[in-house]
Parts: sequence; C-alpha cells; structure tokens
Amino acid sequence: MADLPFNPWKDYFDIWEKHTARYWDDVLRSPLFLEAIGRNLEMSLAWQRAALNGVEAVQKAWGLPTRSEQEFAQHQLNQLATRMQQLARRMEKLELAEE
Amino acid sequence: MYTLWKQWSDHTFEATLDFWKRSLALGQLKQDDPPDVAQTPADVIYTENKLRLLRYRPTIERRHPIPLLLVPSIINRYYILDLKPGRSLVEYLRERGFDVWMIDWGTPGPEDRFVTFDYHIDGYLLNCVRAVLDATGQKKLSLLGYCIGGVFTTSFAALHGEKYVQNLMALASPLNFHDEGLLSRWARKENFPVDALIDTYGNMPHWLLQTSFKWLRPTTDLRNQWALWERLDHPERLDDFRALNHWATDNVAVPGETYRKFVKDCYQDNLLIQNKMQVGGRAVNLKDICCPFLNITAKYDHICPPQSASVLNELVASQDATLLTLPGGHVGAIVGREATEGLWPQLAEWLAERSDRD
Repeated sequence: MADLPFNPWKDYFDIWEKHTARYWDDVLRSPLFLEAIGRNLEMSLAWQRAALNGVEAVQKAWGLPTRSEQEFAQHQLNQLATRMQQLARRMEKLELAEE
Repeated sequence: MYTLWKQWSDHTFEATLDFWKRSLALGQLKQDDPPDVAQTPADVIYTENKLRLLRYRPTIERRHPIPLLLVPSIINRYYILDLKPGRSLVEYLRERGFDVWMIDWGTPGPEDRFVTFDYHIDGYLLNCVRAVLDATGQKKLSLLGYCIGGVFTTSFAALHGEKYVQNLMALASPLNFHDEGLLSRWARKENFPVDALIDTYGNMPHWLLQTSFKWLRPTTDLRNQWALWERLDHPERLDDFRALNHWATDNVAVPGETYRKFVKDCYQDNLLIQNKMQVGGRAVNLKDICCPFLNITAKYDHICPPQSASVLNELVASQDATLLTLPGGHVGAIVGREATEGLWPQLAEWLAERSDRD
C-alpha cells in the first residue's frame, strides 16, 4: 500500500478529517449549540411523554395495566426470583455444612 | 524514457490489481457472518436477572491464588476484555496463571429501568464477589474495573474494600467528571434533560448512546471506511478491525434509574471525588480505599480524559498506589496492538506481585 497512486488521497483525507473533526469539536462544545440542542431534546421528549400519558390514561380508564405498571411488576418478579435463588444457595450451603 | 514508461506502467498495473483485489475482498466481506468474539472458554458460575458471572477455564495451573474479577462497562458488551484470540486481556492473564472471572451485565429489558446504580454495587457486584470467594475459598479478590465498571469497583472498594478487596485496578475509569471532554460538556444540567429522557424512555436507549458516541468525532465512520479499505489485504488486521468495529457498534441500553443517578451525581454534581456520593445510604469515601491500587489511563482517551482518572491516586489512602499512563485511546490502549507490549505485561506484572498473599 505504501507506494500506490491513491496514497496521496489518504494524506488529503487525513488533513480534511483532522480539520473537519476540529471544526465539529468547536461547534459541539459551544454553549449556543448545546443550549439549542438541549431545548429541542426537551421539547421533543415533552411531546413523546404527553403522547405516552394519553395512552396510559386510556388504558387506566379501561382498567388495563399501563406499560410502566407492567414493567414494575416484571421488575418485582425478577427481584423475587433473585431472592429465592439466594435463599436456595444459602440452604445448599447450610446442608453442606451439616454434612 | 522506456525505463520511466515501464516504471509507470508497472506501477499502474500494480495499483489497478490491488484496487480490484480489495474491491473483491470488500464484496466478499459483506456476505460474511459477524466476526467471532469472546472466544475464551468460560463457565457460568452465577446468574442474576440478566447478569452472568463467568469463570475462565485455565490452560495452565493457576499460579496466583487470589482470583481476579473483571468488571466491564454497562454501556457496551463485556467482551471488549476478551475480544478475540490474540486480542484478549482475559486470554493473556489466563495464560499467565491468573484465575480470571468476568461479569457480563447482559442486555437490560424495559423492566430493568428500576434497577438502581446502588444495586449495581451493593447488589450485583457484591453478590458476584461473594460467588467468586465462595467458589475459590479465598478471603479476598482483585478487582479490575473498566470505564464505568471502574466507577462501580472504586465505589465498591470504598464501601466494602476492607472485607473483600485485595487489589484494585481502574482501567480508563473517569472519576473527576468536570473535565474538558465533550461528554462532560454535553451532560451539564443546562444542556441535558436527563430526567425527561428517563421518564420518557425508561432505559437510556442504546441507539441514543451510540449516536452520542459517534458525535464525539463525527468523521469516525468515514475514517473507519478508509481503515477498512487499508486492511483488506491483511486478513489478521482486517479481522481485528472487524471485531473491534463490531464491539463499538454493539451498545446496550442502560437501566434508567442507574443512568439517571450516574449522570446527576457524577457528570452534573461531581459528587464522587468530593466523597459526597451516596450508595445504599452510605457516603462513598475514597479515603477508605487502602488496598494496593493501580490506576491506568490512556493519553488520547476522549471518553475518559487522563486527568479525569488520574486524580484518584491523590484521593485514595493506599500506600501502594501506582499511576500508569499509556499511549492510545479509550479502546486502543486496552485491545490495540500496542496493548500486547504495553498494558498487558505491565498489568500482569503488577498484579502477579500482589496476588500470592491472602
């Protein structure tokens, strides 16, 4: 690869990439840009949350579990499974100790 | 004149041939399966929720009785420390007689949004440490944390170190989060609505993490394409590149509550280095870390800038504290070609001297 004709392109690319990366680094750390991005993100999340809340309100009105309720129930089941696993291990250890 | 023409034509022929060879290789590559990663044989010793605790099978007699538990980051897959044969820190340590263990955090489901930062330390990590000690019959172990894994192991050593930790190693682990890095800027309160994000998505989505890492250097994808082209005629380097690229794009979601606390307490309020961070109702006091400590930073790390990690050496109470700054970046220093002659032997040597006594 060392002496092939398209190698100079690699050098040009490296120079371009370095300059472009530096430019973007300046942009991406400028307070003006970050505040604008932060505001946009917050607005977009607010819309999404409003939509989610709407869906959950409908689910609740119909007496159905909401997404977060289902997730919490699943989380509690996982915790229970872990606790039972730990108790089983302790019992196993105690049984071994007794023997 | 003829010689010049001959030289030019030979050169052009060689270049054209090389171009077509690479193009063919590229075409073939796209039909290939994903690269084989995480190849070191291991047994699953403990599981909890999505977590698996792996113990690597020895190839030689285990020479060092103190087991070594590797704790990777939670935003990427664990196999960065066991990328592929020849590019694996796990394999290297195992071949030098260490009893190597690793946590695979698994892939969190939507229900894991409720798993807290504190539970990662006082629950998952503590349970894994106990499982390692139960299986080996040792009283203490060595802990190595990579990236956010290092934040967990450091906090763990501060809270439970006296009882369980023989040696502590932090590998590219940020501790001072108010640095000049881009991540530190982006995560500030005025720029990053972390509450709104977690309340909306539940977990921190993997695609958002992936996007933000790409934006740390937006030209990375183009650079990678060029790097791929350069490696097409070198199967081994190509394989390394593909494995690493596969890992880099294999992000996982982070449990929502864990991410919320991590961003707020670490990136926004920088509580950890002030000894004000609370885990399980107790303050994490870095002065409580008294065991031998090795802090490894990478000179060109843009995710964990060296000064963000090196500060820990001044904050711990260890009499035996070493700071090692290596060339390379956040990933290159760990699995790059330079790691085989840089990080790995130095880490193994440091650890071997401290892994024989209990």
